[in-house]
Amino acid sequence: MKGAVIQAKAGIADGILNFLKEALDKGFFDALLLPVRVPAGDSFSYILMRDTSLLDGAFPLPPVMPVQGARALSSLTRYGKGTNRIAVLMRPCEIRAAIELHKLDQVDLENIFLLSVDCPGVLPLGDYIKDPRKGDALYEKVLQEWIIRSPRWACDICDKFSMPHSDAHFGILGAPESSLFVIPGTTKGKDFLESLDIEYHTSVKSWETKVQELTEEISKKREQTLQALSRDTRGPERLLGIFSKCINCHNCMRVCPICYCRQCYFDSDALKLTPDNYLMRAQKKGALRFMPDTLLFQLGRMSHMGLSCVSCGTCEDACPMAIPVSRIFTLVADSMQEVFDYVAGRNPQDPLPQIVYKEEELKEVEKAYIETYNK
Amino acid sequence: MAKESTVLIYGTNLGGYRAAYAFCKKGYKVILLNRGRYVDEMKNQALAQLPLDFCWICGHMPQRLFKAIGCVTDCYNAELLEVSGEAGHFKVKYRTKAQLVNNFACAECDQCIEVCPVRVGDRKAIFVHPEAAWENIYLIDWEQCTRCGKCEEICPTGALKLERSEEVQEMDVGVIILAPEFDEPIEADLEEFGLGKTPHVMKNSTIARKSLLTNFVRDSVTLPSGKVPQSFGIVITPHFNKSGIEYENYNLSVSAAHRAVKLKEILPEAQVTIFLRDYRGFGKKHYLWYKKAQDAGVQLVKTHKLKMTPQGEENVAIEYEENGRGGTQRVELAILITGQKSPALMEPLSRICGVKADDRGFCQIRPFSSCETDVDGIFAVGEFSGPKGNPETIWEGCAALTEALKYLGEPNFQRAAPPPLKDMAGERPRVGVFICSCFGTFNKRMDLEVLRETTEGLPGVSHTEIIRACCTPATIKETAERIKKSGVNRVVLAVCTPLQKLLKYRKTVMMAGLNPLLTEYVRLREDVIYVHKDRDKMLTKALALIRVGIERVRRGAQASPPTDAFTPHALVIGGGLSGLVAADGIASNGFTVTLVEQKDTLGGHIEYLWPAQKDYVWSLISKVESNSNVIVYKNAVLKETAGYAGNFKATVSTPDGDVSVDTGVVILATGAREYRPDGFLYGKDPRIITQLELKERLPQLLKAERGPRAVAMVQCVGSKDARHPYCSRICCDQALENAIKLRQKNSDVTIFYRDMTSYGQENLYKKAGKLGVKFVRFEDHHYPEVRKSGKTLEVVTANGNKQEADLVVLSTGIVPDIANNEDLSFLLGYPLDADGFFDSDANAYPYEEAIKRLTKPYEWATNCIYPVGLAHSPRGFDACILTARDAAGRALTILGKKRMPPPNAMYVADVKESLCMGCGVCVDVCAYSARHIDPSKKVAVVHPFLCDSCGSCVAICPNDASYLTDFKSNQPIGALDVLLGT
Amino acid sequence: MKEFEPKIVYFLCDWCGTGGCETASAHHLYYPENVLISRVHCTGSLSAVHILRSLIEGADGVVISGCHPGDCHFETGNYRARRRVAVVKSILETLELGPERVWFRYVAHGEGRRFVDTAAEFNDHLKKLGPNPLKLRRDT
Repeated sequence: MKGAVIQAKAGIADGILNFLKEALDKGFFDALLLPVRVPAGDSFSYILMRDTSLLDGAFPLPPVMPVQGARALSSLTRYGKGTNRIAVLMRPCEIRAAIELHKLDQVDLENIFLLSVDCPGVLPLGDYIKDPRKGDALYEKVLQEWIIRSPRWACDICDKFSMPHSDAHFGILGAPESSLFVIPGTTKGKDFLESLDIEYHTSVKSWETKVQELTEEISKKREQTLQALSRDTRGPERLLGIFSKCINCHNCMRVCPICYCRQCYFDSDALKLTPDNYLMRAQKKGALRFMPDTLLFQLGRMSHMGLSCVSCGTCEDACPMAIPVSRIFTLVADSMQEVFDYVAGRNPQDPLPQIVYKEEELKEVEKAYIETYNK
Repeated sequence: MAKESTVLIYGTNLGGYRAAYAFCKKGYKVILLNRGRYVDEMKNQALAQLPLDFCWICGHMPQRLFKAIGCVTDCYNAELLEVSGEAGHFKVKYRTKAQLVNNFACAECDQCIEVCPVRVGDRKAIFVHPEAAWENIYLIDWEQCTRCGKCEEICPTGALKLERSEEVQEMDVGVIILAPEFDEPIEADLEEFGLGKTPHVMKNSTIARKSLLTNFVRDSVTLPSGKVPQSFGIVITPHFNKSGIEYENYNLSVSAAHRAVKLKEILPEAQVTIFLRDYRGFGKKHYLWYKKAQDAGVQLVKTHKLKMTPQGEENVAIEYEENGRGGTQRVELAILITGQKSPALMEPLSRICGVKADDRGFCQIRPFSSCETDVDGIFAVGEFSGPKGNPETIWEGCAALTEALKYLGEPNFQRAAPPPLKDMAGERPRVGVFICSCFGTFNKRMDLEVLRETTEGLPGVSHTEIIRACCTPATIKETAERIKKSGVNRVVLAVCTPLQKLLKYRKTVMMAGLNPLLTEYVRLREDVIYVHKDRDKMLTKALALIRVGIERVRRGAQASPPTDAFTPHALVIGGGLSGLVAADGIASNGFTVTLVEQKDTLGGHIEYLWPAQKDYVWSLISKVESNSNVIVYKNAVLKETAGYAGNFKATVSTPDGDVSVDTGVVILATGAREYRPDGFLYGKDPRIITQLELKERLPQLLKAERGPRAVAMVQCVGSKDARHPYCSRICCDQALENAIKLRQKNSDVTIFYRDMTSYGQENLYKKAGKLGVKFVRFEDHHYPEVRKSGKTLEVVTANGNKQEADLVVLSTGIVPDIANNEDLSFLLGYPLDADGFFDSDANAYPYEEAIKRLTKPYEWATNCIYPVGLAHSPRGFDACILTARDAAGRALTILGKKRMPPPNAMYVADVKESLCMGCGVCVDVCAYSARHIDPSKKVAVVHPFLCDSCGSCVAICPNDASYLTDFKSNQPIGALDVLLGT
Repeated sequence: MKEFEPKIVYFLCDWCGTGGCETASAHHLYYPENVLISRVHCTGSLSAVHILRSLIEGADGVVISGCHPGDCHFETGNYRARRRVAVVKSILETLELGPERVWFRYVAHGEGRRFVDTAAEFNDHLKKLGPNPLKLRRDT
């Protein structure tokens, strides 16, 4: 793989922002969509900007992910591409979600330039907002040492932390002192670097090695963690134990980048049930807990979005009851996607598994009938 | 004198059924003469062969629908006696005797069986036909029946009459369609294969019929001794039988491969060998089955000689000769894939109506027609006119419409208007539950009164009642009155099979003024009464099912069927043979056609044709060009399309600028190309040519004193190879014809071949062999090599045999014009198949013979876009014409309609715009292209006229923006809850 | 003690599945009363949520039957259903909620025997598995 080397004397963020500023000045983009610290200083949000002076407050790698970037991008381009070229800087999980949303026609990538960056993970949102200053300090260290001290589960076992299918990727790992790699991922990315007159044929071997090492390490960890998690969650007893706290606020669904529906199925007419219905079920089960239908919501939502789940952890950040939603969803999404040899967000060309089929596949799903029963 | 309009169809093969459907749809009354006692007693081709172990023919055949609306008169035990007069004015005389138990009027209450005093083995003298899987066909064992009359007495519907007299009827009809069924070889015909002499030999169709209730399982092949065989030999008998006994249908090779693969599925360890002379599958996907069999570990033995000898009680020895070496295999079960005999009805029918037989004893079709016999106005369809595949059989049914309309008068059938429906919108649901007692018989098995009382107290239920029935004219009327009187606005009918009686139930509720969407039909009989024993549990289950019905109707909403205009115009793209035939078929029957041709002349690849065929094309060109109904654009291409089936708006770019064409249907007749060989030194030496080039040179070669000394022909160049995994159909016949001509000039001709697929031209194959044409087989992908040593040309086989040649002729196949096809596919949103030809109803999995998709009576199946001729798949002259006439016929059935009726009336999909995110997954999964995303609103839109109401869109939509009018998002969950809560 | 009688929801498509079931009836083939039939237009119209709902609200097992591959009345519905069942099974398997309580078997129109065999075999299978723990939970 080849890429360009750019200067980052005053730190990673500075390097990336200067680079973007130049591109904006040269007119390659008309606008940028970037995380910027909110005026109150205790959170971050995506800001669509044309004015380069605003770049000063921008954070290419903010310490938290209050809004999944793909959601922001989807709000921007759901109804078409527009005439402006917009560069979006997002973390790999956000890019992967954006690619899934692109397949679902909720993001139009045509005039969008996707920029990604090596990601050390973010801090759990709940922890951060309790004491943003402490969080900022902590995250400074994270950026330097590339290890999350206050582990956010999803990030801790994220083995897809580096280059996703973006147009250009900022490689931090293994980059020479005070500089960064810019690695083009598509022809669009190459055109971009060419138009900026940046030579992009430098070897990025050091980055590749580092990424590979870290990926392997985390993959192992992921596997172990998921195995342990599976022991703790499987079976109705354990699973219902975990979900028994659920207050049916559906926040997990509302913040999920993949849940693109205006109204969730589980909030719709489909579950407009009468008191008679509830009483009938209560009679059958002995009693019925209210709010009802938690498990149906959780499992049903898995069946709806699990194939596109990018394990970004946003749902868990949003849960007021600290239910490990993301863990359970990750566990299931991984095995669901494996059935179809699909990885959410891997490639815009991979069709969504639910809209295609093969004539010969999934024999194991069928219950074979080769002899009559009870002759 | 005005022409007659009624159509007489004699016989019930699939072609005849399809013709009945087409004529009814067009508004003509049809008399269907069935020689049998019940539907399909005379086995048609598909039933006789049953290459598939499951079959849907009864479900898709039109007699039930059209009989219900009064368009078809079907006569049982019928025989055609006399035909006189001429086309348009035939007088026919036929004998018929009504069914003892009128299958259509019978409510299937089983009381007749109960009262019958005569026991015959494990059944009574009146019994349900055990081999007809789905319909309850009641038969009377006339030998054993004592005529006591008890059954007739108790029959509540009057369907059963022991005294049925024979009637001789005389009718005036416009055209006659002969559709006699399949003549299966009998045991004596298959004597040399040991059939009947040992249990170790069985016909494939016997196995299929044995598996009717189970599909193919181990029990289907179990020997009488109870042993499951471990070695199988599958033999295609027409390849080895004495001549004149049976003829090969082109699906036999595929049937063999299909059976072999299925055997490997249920018995993976078994040894399975197919014995055949040539693998002759040339329909869509046929050749893939060859590979599938190989992949499954099936052995294929290609041999010219085969002898089968039963070995005592153990097995059967199959002796064969392969590559000049003899071999013997002992198999525990030999499965015979049998062919077809020439029709026994040929002789009487030629006496009665003057039709002639061809040299094999099948009905002769006049040249350049698809189904018209030598007698004007008398048509022959399906297996009666020759062995053929199921697609051809069915296509001929619609082709008959195209060809026969000219003899017929004005349509003579008008469907009665449906009764007016009351507007119930906004009313609070008042559910009425009507429980059918099937003339009191259900009471014996279950306490209906208790069921009714329990139902009465359920929420939302305002009326309950036990009814006699609602499936005979009297009871339908009676029940409709009761519904009306009860004043309910929702109805649950607890009855029996909606699959068979749906129309009757809908009629019942509609006669009561109710929208059918506000009603539900619960299967009391199929789900409870006939299949269960425990009375208490039956009651609980019946209640659960009725509660589901109540839950669903309470949440149902009325809707009326949408309608849309239909443009009575056809656009034909491509002015070659198929395009011309289709354009002529439609235009000469009174509809306007736009014909678009890319080149500056019509006729297409006329250079490939024989002189008589060329003359036909010339005459067709002048006929089409002089028809005022046809506008021809030459040097023109399709540039853009908009709209949808029934109302397309096409833009055609012509030398005089763009022309806009509004059209209802589009016929794709864009043809294909000849494969240009790479390799075989083609183009490097003037003595290496293609069959077409040989054909051009042939007159000259034949004029010479003597032909070339040695000619080598290589078959399958560009066919059945890795890039083109299909048979091109025409090359074997072409090679044989040329070889015979050269051989008659004393040339030494050697044909290097893989399989001679000279299907239908068996005589050519034999003649060539007799004249001394040498045949050398090569295996699968080991093509012979063409070499040049000095000035001599050599053909070298894979095992090193060399053959010198003065002329090497490559039999090149047909390849699709991929670029053009892809463009059109994109423009029209019409899919291509894996080979690059246009997809079609015949391109069904598992293979072209899969009749379900073919028999589906649904003109919209291909969205009013019909690929024909070579655009459809490789095929010869007559087969191209047939597809074109079929397409024209299908178009003609709908072109006359002023309003477009949705195929499922008010049962269609729809979208809640406020919820729809425009993600398009529903568009992707819709098998009917019935949806698109409205670009301005970014929401999904449904074309109700294309929607077949399958619900794929509902299941894929994550937030239920998509729904079916009878499958709304608020219905299933509540329904499941009550199902499980009872 | 009373023998455990599983509650089974048998989803049938309106075409082959229903046909198979009606063939069984035409031949008076018996199957257990605790098998409850739920008909859908096409197995392709059956959503994963419906299968999950059945398991949560009282079913001990769910069978889905539609047309054989390639024989779908609606062309491709059964292929899509197969993928959807794979999704449901994957969820149930990962969370150990009883993937073996969901069966998918093709039953064609004339295959009445196959239909009742499936019902009986599944019934016996569930008897061995015992009651579905989810259906008794009040905190679902």
